[in-house]
Amino acid sequence: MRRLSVCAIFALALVSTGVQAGAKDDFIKAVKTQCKKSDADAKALATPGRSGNVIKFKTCSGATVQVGDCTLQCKDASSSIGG
Amino acid sequence: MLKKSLLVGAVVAATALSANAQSLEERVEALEFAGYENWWKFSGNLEYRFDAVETEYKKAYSTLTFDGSTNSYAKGDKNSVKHHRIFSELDIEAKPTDKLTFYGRLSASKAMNTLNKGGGTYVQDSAFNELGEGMNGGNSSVFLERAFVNYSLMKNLVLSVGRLPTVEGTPAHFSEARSPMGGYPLLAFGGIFDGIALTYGHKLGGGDLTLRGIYTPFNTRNIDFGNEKFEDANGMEVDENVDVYSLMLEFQKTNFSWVKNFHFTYQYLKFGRFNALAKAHVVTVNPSSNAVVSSKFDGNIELGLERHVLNLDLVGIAKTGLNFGVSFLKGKAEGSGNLTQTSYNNDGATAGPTSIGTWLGSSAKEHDGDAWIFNLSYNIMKLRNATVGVEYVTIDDDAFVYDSASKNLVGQYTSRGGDAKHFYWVQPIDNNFKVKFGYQEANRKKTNYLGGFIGSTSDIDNVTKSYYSSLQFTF
Repeated sequence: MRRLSVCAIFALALVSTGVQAGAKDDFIKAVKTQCKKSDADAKALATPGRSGNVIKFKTCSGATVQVGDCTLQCKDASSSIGG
Repeated sequence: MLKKSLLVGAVVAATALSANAQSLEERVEALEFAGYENWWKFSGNLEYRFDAVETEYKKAYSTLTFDGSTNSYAKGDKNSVKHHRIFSELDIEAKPTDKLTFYGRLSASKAMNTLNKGGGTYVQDSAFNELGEGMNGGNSSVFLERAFVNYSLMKNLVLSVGRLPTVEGTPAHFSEARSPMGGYPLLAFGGIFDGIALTYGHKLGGGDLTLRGIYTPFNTRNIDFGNEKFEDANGMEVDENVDVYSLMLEFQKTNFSWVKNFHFTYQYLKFGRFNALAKAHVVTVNPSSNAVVSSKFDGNIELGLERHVLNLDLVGIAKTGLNFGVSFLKGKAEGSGNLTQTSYNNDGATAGPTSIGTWLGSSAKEHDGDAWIFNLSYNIMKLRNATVGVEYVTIDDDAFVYDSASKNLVGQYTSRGGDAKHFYWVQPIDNNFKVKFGYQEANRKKTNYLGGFIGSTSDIDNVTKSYYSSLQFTF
């Protein structure tokens, strides 16, 4: 029983993560690449929620977005041929 | 008794927990499937822009429009016009698999509440129609600014097919304080191209190297007889397809010691000889007599273009908010053949055919010209990352510059033979709302008789200025 519950919670966590995994992974990768942050520091900046940094970067409409002490370049994939 | 009660309680609790766990499992499964189903994403942008435009004609000249009417300007003429416009973009992204992504954009660009549309040939778009558009019976037209797919053939190789994002290219994003908004540098060509592209990406020195080839078939269609070719005025068949090829090389890297983001682009673009005006037939009204006049443009004129464009964007120079962009065009344009105009009045009288000439002149010739665009802007972090900047454009007489999809009303990127200036301030209010103020001034020194591109060349001296403001919402 306990195993079933744990499995279910684990699966839920996996799927929930999966829904945002792309956005969060993209964010962490951008912070590490563009601001030369460590993995841990990048993850610390990846704040959740509607007004968190991950969504702020994902929905960025300007040229850059500021997250903490890191300035990230925004990209509009729909404006680039070939992604 | 107590033991029995405890046992029963434990069994009931275990059963309830089991039911909950099963329910949780089902919910997880439902969520998983919902995640797989939900591969659509929508976003958008809405802009209200107000322009106060003034044009001064410092030299007298006459031109002919493509609807057959003549425009004459006297030295010292001035026109002042205010424009209230709405631009709306609805962006669509679909990513059904890791290999395939679709991007679409539904766009509307309109003057607000245009109740009188006199002066043109708005037979199907008459006054007051606009108050009911979208509600009254009309037609099924939908305009797609872009609609294309990216399909990953291999890890580094992407096939793109469709109506590609070729307008509002770099450096237009500087003055909008946005990320690059289009795939082609603005000086390459400002028009929406349908086509097929192959993009190869490669990591190089910590940056991204991209090589891209693009094929764009231009068409000329005989609408009356879809399976027949046009014939030009000499009885020669006109090719229904003309190939346009382009090669692009891009290199982008972040975090150089001296600049935050470095983006270099080279583009080569070649048009085959395209005959766009054989049998072009327009009906208009002669304003002096109110007589219906039919004009037929015919001939065998062809336009060939060859262009090299270099563009460099530098963002965050010396770890400051300073940005710089430079774009250079080396262009070659060749017009050939001759176009004629014949006018038919409704009383049966005809005039012409009158010889007009060809692209960029009254006779066949090869034209060479250069153009430059410079941008300098600064991001002010203390003012919510506001952007203040200046743009300068200079264009040779014979540089064939074309920008059919620009929001500016002064000819910022088409000031042939002259130059243009642009001062702008973009002030974000929050992540979804920004306000923009700007001033643009373009000085145009050359034009051609028909539509600005065909026939004899005239020396002109037009100065067009615009003070504008803009409210932009993203969602």
